[in-house]
Amino acid sequence: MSENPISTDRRSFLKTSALVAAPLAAAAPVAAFAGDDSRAKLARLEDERAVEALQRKFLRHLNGTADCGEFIASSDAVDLGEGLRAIAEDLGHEASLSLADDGLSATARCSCRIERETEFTGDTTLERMARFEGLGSHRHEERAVLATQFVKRKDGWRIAGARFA
Amino acid sequence: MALEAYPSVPLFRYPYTELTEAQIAAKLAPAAEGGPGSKGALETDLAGTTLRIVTDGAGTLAWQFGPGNRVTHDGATGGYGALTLDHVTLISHVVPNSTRAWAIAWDRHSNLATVLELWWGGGPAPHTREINRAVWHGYVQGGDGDAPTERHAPTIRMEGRGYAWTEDTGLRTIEYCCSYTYTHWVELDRLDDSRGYSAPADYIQLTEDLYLFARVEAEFSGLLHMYVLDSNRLQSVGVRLGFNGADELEYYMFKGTAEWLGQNARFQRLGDFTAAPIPIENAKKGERRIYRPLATMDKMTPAEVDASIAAGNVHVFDRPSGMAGNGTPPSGALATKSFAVEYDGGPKMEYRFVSNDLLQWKKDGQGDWRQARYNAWEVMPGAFIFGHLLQGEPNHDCHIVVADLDAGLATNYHGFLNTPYFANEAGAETLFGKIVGQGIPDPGRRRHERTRDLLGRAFTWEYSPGLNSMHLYSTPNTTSWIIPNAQTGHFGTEWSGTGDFVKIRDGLYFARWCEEACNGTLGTLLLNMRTMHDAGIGYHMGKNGGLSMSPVGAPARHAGKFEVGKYFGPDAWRTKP
Repeated sequence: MSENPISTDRRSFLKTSALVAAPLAAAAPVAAFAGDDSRAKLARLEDERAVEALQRKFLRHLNGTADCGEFIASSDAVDLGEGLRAIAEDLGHEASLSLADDGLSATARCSCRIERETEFTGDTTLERMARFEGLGSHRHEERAVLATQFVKRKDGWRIAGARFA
Repeated sequence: MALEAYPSVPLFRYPYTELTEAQIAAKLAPAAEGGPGSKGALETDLAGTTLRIVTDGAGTLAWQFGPGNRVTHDGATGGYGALTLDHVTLISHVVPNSTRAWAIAWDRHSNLATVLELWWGGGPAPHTREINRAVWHGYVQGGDGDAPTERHAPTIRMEGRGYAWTEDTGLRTIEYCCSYTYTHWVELDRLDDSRGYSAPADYIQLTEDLYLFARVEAEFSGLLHMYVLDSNRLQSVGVRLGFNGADELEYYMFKGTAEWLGQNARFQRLGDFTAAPIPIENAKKGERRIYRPLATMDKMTPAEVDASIAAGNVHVFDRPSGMAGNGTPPSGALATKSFAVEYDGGPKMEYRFVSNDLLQWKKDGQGDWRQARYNAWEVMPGAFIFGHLLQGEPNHDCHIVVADLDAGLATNYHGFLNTPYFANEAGAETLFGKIVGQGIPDPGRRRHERTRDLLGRAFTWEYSPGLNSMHLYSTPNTTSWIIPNAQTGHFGTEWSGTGDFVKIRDGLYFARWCEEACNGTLGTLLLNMRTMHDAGIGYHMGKNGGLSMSPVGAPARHAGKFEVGKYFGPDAWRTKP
């Protein structure tokens, strides 16, 4: 097994996936691969795919009302700040995924466009005047990099941390 | 205090009488009979005319004009006044035996008309003495042609304009049209302390160059001051109607001439000319958004303030501030420095800056060193703003200091609570001094000085997403702030308070504003006009937030500068309590 973590950007990830997908579809069983090295590579590819799927699922949940609890490692794992209302991966920037050598953890970074809503509930004169004018809150878009940590447990991958870098 | 037609105290300190409808009706009776006064002759050529104005919201309204200045409306006959500016005639009368009045702007070329229905009592104004108005647009019915589809309309076009008017009465007023729903005006003759005040206003476009403007001095006298203005000829005809501080009826028509002061930048999207205010759900007739800060501000007793602070409700740079979301980070460059600031006629403050956010201070050499949390920002190399509380002072004082270590000069906006009006309202005084310390030059008798470099200037401040404002430094002692709609860039509600302005260096200015009778905050900023960014400190006491010092910081845009220096005498910076 390589000493270095495998870093893949989106393109290399997709490319590798495509390359592997054909034999997978054709020959299916992992056992059919000859040698430990191929088996390990396949396992890593499967992990990467699982992590990326989890990341996509996470973003979908953030945009909806569904509970992320089923795939969050701990209650304080996710801290994306106040008032997050929407998040979308910015496809104009490469995402990156890094799987640890031991295959038990991973990190991902992806550029996102996020929308936050600020409630003007404070006592500053500006907030009072904004409320008075009928503008009790404000939605605005930001660009941010979502840094996500993943951990592999017996029952699969979980999100161990999510922050905007 | 004795009643004063034009108070010798700031208008927000003057106890205007709560007039009753009966008192108002009695005071209006002679005016309803005789019509408005005027310096010059009023027009009588309407005799024999019947104006039937079809309005979009108030049905068809009719006025029959008789000989002299007699007008009959809704079965009641009284006196009226009229003045014409080019082809727009402004007509005004008070309805006999009522607390109602009308003002009509009739464009004789297009036959379009705008009618202001005016009344006292019954709301929406919470004070009976404050005149209510509803604005109706329509046309004068007549002839066989089709009814016009055009209308006069509220406009954004006047936003940012400034005029210095002189009436035929001799009275002079600066009108800063800072927003599409508010105005800021400075009475140069009737009031003698060079302050500006803010009030709701209507801006109606009549033609490309003629506009109807109406200001209601809400929260103060409640007077209406309205005029038709010709923006090319810089002339006006107008009417003033309402009750001054002595509760005397002022009802006169006037002609005016103006000096054009210019127009500050507008910040709507290019091509956006909309001018409809944010609607009010289930609005009453004439209802609009009138900012009434005195009604909404916290009002605490000295005991309540002391108790809150004693309970530890004190926050000094210990939480995020929406006023500094786009601020620059504090500087640690004062850490390990020591110096003293000797204020002229004020205290000597000794400082030991022990870390990035802790200092020790000693006042006039008394007692032990006292520790306080501070924040500092280096806004120009060697020029800092820092602030801290003076724990133990009876008025819970703060010092907000600009220290120019390269020049050895310091200026302090010394803030304190327990003004004579509200215990939680911040007051301030400006102290000038010199810095004494190792390696700091001795400026001798030189000091920072008050400046008029900012007078007439306006800056926008983008504090945080959705929280923006514009400052207009309208007089040598007034800061006005105007709040935009963050989505559209329309500037709307406006208010103002005491300001002071000190030049620190070329392009570096120390300004403050006091939100008197309005949330009670002392706001300060050190503006770098080269980076177009500021850093500042807010000092506030409130029921919820307790005593706080918090950062202020935003990028600025220069919206423009009105040349108004000649209207203010050398002592115009002085303020009255």
